[in-house]
Amino acid sequence: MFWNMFASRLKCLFRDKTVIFWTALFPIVLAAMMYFAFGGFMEGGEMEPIPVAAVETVVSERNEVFLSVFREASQEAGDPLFDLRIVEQEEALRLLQEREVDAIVEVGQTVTLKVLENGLEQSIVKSFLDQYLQTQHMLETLMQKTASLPGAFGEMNFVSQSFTKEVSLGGATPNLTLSYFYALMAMACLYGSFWGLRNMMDIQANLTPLGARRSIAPAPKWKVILSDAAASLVIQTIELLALLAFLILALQVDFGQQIGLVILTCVVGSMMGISFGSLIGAASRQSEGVKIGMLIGISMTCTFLAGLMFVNMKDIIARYVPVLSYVNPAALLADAFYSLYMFGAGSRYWMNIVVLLGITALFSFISYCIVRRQRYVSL
Amino acid sequence: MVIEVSNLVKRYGDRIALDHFNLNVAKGEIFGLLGPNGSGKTTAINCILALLKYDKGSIRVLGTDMTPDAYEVKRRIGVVMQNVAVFEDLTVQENIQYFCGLYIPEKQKRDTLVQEAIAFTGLEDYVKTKPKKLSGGLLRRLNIACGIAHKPQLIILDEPTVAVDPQSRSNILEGIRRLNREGTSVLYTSHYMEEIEQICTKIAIMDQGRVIALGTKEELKSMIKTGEKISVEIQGLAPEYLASIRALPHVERVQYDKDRLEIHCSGGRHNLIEVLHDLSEKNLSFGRVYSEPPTLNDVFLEITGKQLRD
Repeated sequence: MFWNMFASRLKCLFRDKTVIFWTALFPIVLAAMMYFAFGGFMEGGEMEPIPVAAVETVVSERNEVFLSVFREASQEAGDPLFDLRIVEQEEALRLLQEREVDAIVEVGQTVTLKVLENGLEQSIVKSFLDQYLQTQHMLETLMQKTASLPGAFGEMNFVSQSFTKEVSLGGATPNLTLSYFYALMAMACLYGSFWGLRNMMDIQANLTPLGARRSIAPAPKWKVILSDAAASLVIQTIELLALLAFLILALQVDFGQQIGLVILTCVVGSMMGISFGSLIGAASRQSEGVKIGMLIGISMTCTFLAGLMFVNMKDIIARYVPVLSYVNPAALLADAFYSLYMFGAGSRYWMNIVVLLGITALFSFISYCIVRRQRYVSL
Repeated sequence: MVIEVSNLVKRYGDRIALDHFNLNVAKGEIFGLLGPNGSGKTTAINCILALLKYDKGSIRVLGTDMTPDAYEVKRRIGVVMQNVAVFEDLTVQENIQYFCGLYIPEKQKRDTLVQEAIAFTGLEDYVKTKPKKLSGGLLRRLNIACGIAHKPQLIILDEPTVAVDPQSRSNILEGIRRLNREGTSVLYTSHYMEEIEQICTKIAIMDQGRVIALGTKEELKSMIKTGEKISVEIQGLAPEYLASIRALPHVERVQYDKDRLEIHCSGGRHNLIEVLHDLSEKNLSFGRVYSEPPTLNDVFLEITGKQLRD
């Protein structure tokens, strides 16, 4: 009996074009639109070298050292910080006026920075100069004070060295744009709620004639609920995997190396979405149209708070209303994808999965308690 | 008895929908439940099917107390609801297969029953059609096929012919008679008295949640004073003639309005001949003449003072 119910339900849901559109095609179309809207950001957000003109107004050993450091920063293999041009004063001014360079560095008795406007590039040049001048000053002071201690200075190592190294556990580089796509995946999971709603509409005798007919059949209600839920889970998971394949293969969105766990997240997200729709279908006494409106409204609010429209929203919520991050299924899903990408299958990922499963269990339990009754006061 | 309902009381807030409702359907009967809209027929059916809670009374179906989890009893019942209840996204055959599958787990047996149900309802040409492409009559036939495919011992049909064209209605009624001939007991509700008269072997007339009359159609008609109703088209009838017609044997009531004379007789034979003889004796020329036996509407009218279709 179960397989007959499951197979028929599967056919039935696969042919529901309206729900298929919202749960499968709409997220794919939205993903494509987002991809084209972001354009070059998808390339990883690497910075171009900053064009800078340097003018040596006074030739000295000290200035030569400075310029050699500047040249070195402009010639770092694969990742140069500056695009340095050493030119005459007039040429430098022309380049700045024509915005071919972002700054002029005049190296004379002192080092002077000239810019036309403030911006990220200008700030980077200024920081570089500040750091150089501070280090130079420190070294000169140190040399004066240790002149009476021959040999001591020579043994000191002045090479700047970092004792920590930033690595990504997931082998990935941070990319904010990806968060939008992870939030989109979360939205697609929440749209599984349409299946859950339909299941509930088709099972309650006081909502539809079909519900009444199924209620008078000699099939235990839990069996009917389970067959419907299993069929909708299969469809929703297939739809999410299609979306995932589109994102990875067509749009080159990086989900990290652990694709098995990404699929697990999709399955858990599907379960969560279906249970959410079931809850709205079972608990609300409104018409089907109103219930659909509620699903869309709640799903969009959750995904907005998870960063679908404004990626920093997730951080704002985490900072000011942290509890919301733990009860918003969309935020949990988006964070599960993100943490899997950045840090691998660590405690943060598993925490998200466990909380999602908890929410799913809670939604399912409440829905079942509501629909398990078998006699109604009125139909 | 296949259905035994005693003293059933169902309230919707302050309104009483079933007021000590009693019903006994014997094996092999086509039992008709007749009453105007809102008389409590569907509420009674929903209580019998254990869909609705009720305040008082008892219900036994096929010898067992009817409860929501009485699956063995449910397996032997077929139900055709008032509203068409099928999956819009499944074809005719897939729908029948699904609902039959809720009752019959064995695939081979199920497939045979599905084919029989399709043939029985005349849906052979539409097996791959989806419900939204079916006409109203065909949709009703599909609704019936889904309810009876598993060959139940008892079939409950709640207003199955609402909004159905006359030809489909005739097919449906003939189908019910065929099922009954094959041994199925039937509980049939309708507010169409002609249908009930046509197919039911026993009839209960309902009003305001109660059974107000019970019996065969002949028994019900014999309960009332009104027998034959004779109508005569006649022009310019003088009042003194009306008095002479009233004096004829078995004449209960006489009305004359808009050149139409209506004579209500109580039982008796040859009433029409008596009337026509009297009119001829008085040299009154008349047009068309009609004679109608009493209907269930007359029964309902006499008991409640209302028309069945009010």
